[in-house]
Amino acid sequence: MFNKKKKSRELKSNYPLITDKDVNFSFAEAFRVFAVNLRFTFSQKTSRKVIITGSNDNMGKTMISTNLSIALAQSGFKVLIIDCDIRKPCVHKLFKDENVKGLTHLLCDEADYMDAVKKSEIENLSYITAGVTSPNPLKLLLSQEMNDLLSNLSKEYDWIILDTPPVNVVSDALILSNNSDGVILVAEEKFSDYKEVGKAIEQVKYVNGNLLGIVLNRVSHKNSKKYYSYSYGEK
Amino acid sequence: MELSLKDYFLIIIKKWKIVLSLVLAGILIMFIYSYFMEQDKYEISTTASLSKKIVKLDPDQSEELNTTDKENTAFERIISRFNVELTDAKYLYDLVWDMEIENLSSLYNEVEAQEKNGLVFESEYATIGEWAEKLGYTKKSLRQALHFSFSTVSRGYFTVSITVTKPDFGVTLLAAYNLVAKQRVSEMSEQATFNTNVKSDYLIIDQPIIPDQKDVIRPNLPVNMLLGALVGIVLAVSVILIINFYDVKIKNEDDIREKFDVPVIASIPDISEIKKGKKENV
Repeated sequence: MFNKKKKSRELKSNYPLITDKDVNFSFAEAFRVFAVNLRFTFSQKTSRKVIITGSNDNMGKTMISTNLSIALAQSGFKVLIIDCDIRKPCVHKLFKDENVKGLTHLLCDEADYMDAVKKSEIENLSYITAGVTSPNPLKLLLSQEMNDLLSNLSKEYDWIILDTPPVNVVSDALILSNNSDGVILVAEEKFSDYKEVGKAIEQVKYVNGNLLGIVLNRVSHKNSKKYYSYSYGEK
Repeated sequence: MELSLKDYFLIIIKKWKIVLSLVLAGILIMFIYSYFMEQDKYEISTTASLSKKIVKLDPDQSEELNTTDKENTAFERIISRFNVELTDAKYLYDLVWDMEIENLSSLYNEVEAQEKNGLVFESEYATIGEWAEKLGYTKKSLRQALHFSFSTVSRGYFTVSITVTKPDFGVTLLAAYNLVAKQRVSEMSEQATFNTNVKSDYLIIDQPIIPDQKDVIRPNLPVNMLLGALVGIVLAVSVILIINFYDVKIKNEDDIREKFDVPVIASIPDISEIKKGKKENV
């Protein structure tokens, strides 16, 4: 029974992008509102590094990271999304790319920027895939090379979105949180439970991460209308 | 998250559909049960009294003076013994249980009674116990169903009653009780003085008869339906509270705000749900 449920959830996550031709207005608008909220949160800064993580797997982190990056890029910012989920990389799938040269190659000095940083079809938006799966991702993310990489990239991009593994599963996101300007947790309506989200919040706060807020994903049509009245002005 | 009584009340009100469904289900079930399944009940009872009987051991011997008090005390002892044996003694009850119905009519005609209704006892079962088992009683449950009451004014009066769905069975059972009781009483004897014994006669005052149609205990439809509604409410409240206890999933933005004091920075609609056909006016 549970396998069936999981399978149906996986099928749901077919990575919709707000640049898709047939994308729903409400869906795209939600990310535009998200981008605006985030811009106001960091109105004073010129370069921001934001971690997107979740309490558990399958919450739609990568889809949200990518669409947020697109929404920011469409607002005229130079945006870079980095797939920091070295254990289960996904960002390349959304850009319909191969995960050949990526973050791990950059950190191990096996690739240069030109190879690893790729320009997407969307103006102002670049991405770095995860690269080859590493036996010890923590060591890589904790390395001086990672620090240097983020510092250098900050000079070039207005926004760096770091797509990371769930905090309740591995500590990658927590390690990176000290090297970022804020952490955003993704939770899923009707699937995330309080205990797990609470634990994730505690973990971020424990490492003094700047928790910006929670993104609630897969909000039912009824609830999304209740909160945002997306149909406003559409009649 | 600590919930106040008001919170619980609001949770229950929010799930009014469950409450309404279970209340209606309770009413409907009780209506069907009362109207179609529950049988009419009959209260059968028999009343008897013990009368004092003085037996002189030697009629020629001279008697003490003022023997009445002693005789009365002896008679009281008989009544007390009878009361205890009728209500508590297992062997009397066993005699009733094993009594053969075929012999009951002829034996019963010998019983001294104020009014004889010419009761005839017929059944397809051989003994009272067999009949009782067929009606779903056990030896223990039938005994528990019997009710004994002794008159407080004159302890020689007592009533045995039972509420049954088959009045014939009730009548037969109580008739058997009368027979056994009469037999037992005839055996009892208490010495009052050196020359006087007190014995007792068992006189049936009210025969166990099938009550009039107006005295039949019919299922009380409104009360039963009200009972169904109450059970429905209790069940609904229990179900809602259990669901609430185990339901730990985030249901909406308000849940996050209430629980964590962390802002909800974005709310992304479920695209699969929108695609499924819940169209918006875009």
